[in-house]
Parts: sequence; structure tokens; C-alpha cells
Amino acid sequence: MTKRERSSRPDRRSLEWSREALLDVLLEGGPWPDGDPLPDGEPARWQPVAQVLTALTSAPESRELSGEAQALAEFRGQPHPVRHPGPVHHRGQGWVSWLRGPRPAVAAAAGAVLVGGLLAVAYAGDLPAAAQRLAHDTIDAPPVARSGSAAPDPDASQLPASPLGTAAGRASFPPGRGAAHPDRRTSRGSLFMSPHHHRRPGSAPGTGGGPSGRSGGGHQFPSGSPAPSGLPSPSGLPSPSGSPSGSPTPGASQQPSPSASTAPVDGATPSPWAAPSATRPSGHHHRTGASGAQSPPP
Amino acid sequence: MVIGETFERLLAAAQSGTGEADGAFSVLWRDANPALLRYLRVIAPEAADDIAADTWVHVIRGLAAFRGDETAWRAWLFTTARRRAIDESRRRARRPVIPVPELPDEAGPGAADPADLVLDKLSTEAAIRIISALPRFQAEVILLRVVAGLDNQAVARLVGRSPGAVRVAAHRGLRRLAATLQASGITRDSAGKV
Repeated sequence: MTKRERSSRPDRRSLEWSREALLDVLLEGGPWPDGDPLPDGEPARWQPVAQVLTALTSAPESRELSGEAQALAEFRGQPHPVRHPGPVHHRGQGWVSWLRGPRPAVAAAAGAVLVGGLLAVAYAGDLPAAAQRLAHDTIDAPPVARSGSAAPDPDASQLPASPLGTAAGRASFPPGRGAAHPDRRTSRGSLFMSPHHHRRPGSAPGTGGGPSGRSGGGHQFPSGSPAPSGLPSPSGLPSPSGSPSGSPTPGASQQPSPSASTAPVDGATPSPWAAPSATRPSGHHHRTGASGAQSPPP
Repeated sequence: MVIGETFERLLAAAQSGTGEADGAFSVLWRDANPALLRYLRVIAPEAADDIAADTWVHVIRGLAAFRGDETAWRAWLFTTARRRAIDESRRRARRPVIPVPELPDEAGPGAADPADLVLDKLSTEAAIRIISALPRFQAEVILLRVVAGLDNQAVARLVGRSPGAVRVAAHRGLRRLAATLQASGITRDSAGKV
């Protein structure tokens, strides 16, 4: 490398820098300060490039503005005003604001009332059959009352010799919806009542621990003697009345409910808790007892 | 493609939804759409008009939330168009279109011979054809600098490259363009004649 070549380097750098600057100016679209698009000494080959770039930024052609109506229609279709848009509601904020208000307490109270009401109805046995069956399975509510058995089934004599399966036992309940109770009583009584009943089969029909008052009215409650032991029936269920064979007699059907055994009698200390505790295991008996069996005799 | 000082007022009017909104939006559209179409005719010549319309639909829907100056407006517009073009190219790649031989050759922007162009009366269409002959990235960078009026930094952000890479690509494109024009015999002598 000669000394002359070394001395020419700054000129090359300067020229390269000026080329780069020229290209930047071309890209920015600005003319040279003196109005000449080409600096002194620069090859004329950049002029066509400048022309091409200028043509790219020329005035719009008609076809380039043909879509204005469509764009304007799209613009008009947008909701306005957009300058001051309304508050933006986010899903998460909605839930948070809902939880902050008084509505959760109201909803909880309403839910509690609803659940409580359902439970009450379920334990009262007034739910529809399917719901009552479900309540019976889940929360030990009374089972479903069989419909269509308002009158004592004459075929009850064909039933096994369960003391609760007798027609007299059924007849001790009032007709109508109460007629279904014996079946319920049978189902639960077989589990809870059998030991106690097996102690009484020897008693005479209608007398074994049963009330002496036989006025015949199904709704009449006993004012007679209590059970021999003086204790209330464990579940407040009627003690087996009638013959073990279960042959129903009209008179037997009129026997009062043995739940009256909880009524205070001579020598027996009445306990206000006796009847409820005795009737608790079977839900409907509790209702029955509460309707009259617990009321002391006049 | 420069509105200038009135841009802020036009944008506010277009966003206001008042009676001036249509006129303001029309001014914005007339200023930007030709440049948008020219850009798209290079990077997506098959569907430039459709992509431009789709871009405006997107921009109109987002106009209420836009905040920025004119440079940001243009950057948003061309960024949206570029993304739509990329989506369109991917869609076409999945379902390639078979070219129809009956179509004339000049249907594509790159089919023109630069020697056929008269520089003094160089049309926009011819300039687009010349630029389309460049490598894709170089042509895109030049168009974004020249047509969209974006600076080096904005183009770098838009294409996802460094400002240095964008500048180098633009310069290479211009040099290549000059070489192409020179090889085609389209040069200007010292007297300024073609």
C-alpha cells in the first residue's frame, strides 16, 4: 500500500458516508438542500431510483379511492360515541361487586328458608312420592305413603302374622291419608317394634295394653287404662289389637290408637316428654300423637 | 401521506361520533388507503384489496381505543395490514391456488420490464412493479420507509428486526434497484435526460 493510497482512505470513507446519507435522504423522500437530488460527484445512476421512489408516493389514483364508500359504511355501522366510551364491565369485576353488596346475605337467607321449608315438608311427609322417597333415603324422612289404600285392605289377613300387619292395627288410624300409616308402621315397626310386640301377643284383642275406651271413633283417643306395664309404647305405636290371625272386624277397626298409652293414668306419672320420645322413631306417628294422643284427658 | 397538524383534530372528530365524524374519517381514509394499497400490492399482490378492506374493518373497530400521533396512527395501520397479509399468505399456503393460464402476464406487478418504463412519466403501477422485483424484505422495508413514511425505528418495531438491520436492508434494496435500472438502460445522464 503506497503512501498515496493511504492518504486517499478518508476520501473513500467520506464518499461512502455520503452514499449512505444519500440513501437515507432518498428513503425519507426529501430533496437535497439545494434542490438537486444528487450531490456533486455522485453518479447519475441514483436519479432513476429517486424517480421510482417519487412515483411510489405520487397522488392517489382513482382506483385506490374506490373503496371509500364501503369503508365509510363500515365506519357508520360502528356504535358511537366512541370518544367517551362507557364503563367497561369485566366478568370478574361483576362477580366481585356482586359479592360485595347485600345480595349474598339475602340469597343465603332465602336459601336457608327454602332448605328449612323443604326439610319441614319432607319430615311432614307431604312431599310428592318421588321426592319423599328420596328424602326418606337421604335424610331419614318418613317413607312414602301408599296412595289408594284409604280403606283397610281385606286381603290383609293374607299377610304374615305380624302384629302390625293386622287390619285392626291399620284401622286404628283415621281413614283417608291416615289409612296409609299402618303400612309405614309395618315397615318400620318390623325393625323397631317387634321385641316389644312379642311381649304382648297374649293380650286379648283390643285389650292388651290398649285403652279400654272403645267408643268406636277412629279419632277418639283413649282415656282408659294404659299398658299393663304403665309404660308408653316405645314408639307410640298401637299395640297389636285384634286377633293374631288378622281377621278384621268392624269393631276392631274402630279401636282407638294405642298411642294413648302415653296419656297419664292412675298411678302413672305423666311425662310431657314421654310421647314425643316414644313417637320420634316414626315420623308420622309423631304427627298423629301430637294431634291428640299427647293431650291429657279431660 | 402526511396530514400534519390537523391530524389530531381529525382523529378526535372521527372518534367523537358527531356530525363531523364521517368527514374526518373520510380524510383519514383518503390519506392512508392509497399508501396502504401500494404496500399491500407488493407484499400480497394476490389479495391486496381484500386485505386492505379487512385492515380498515379492524382499524374502525379499534378506533375508539386508539391514542397516539400521526406516526403512531400510520404504524398501527400498517402493522395491522402486515399481520393480515401474513395471515392471508398462510391461508393460501394451506390451500394453494392453481394459476389460470388464460390470465394475462401483466397481471402481476413484477411482470413489467423496467426498460419499458419511461421514468419521466413513471406511473405508480410501474414503480410498484419495479420494487416488487426486489427481495421481499428489502422491498417491504423500502415501502414502509417511503410509502408509509415511517422512520427507521418504527419500521424496525413493525417488522421485528433491529434498526440497523432495517437500514442495511433498505440500502441494499436501493443499490439493487439502482443496479437493475442501470442494467436496463434506464439511466439519466448529466443533462438529466433518460
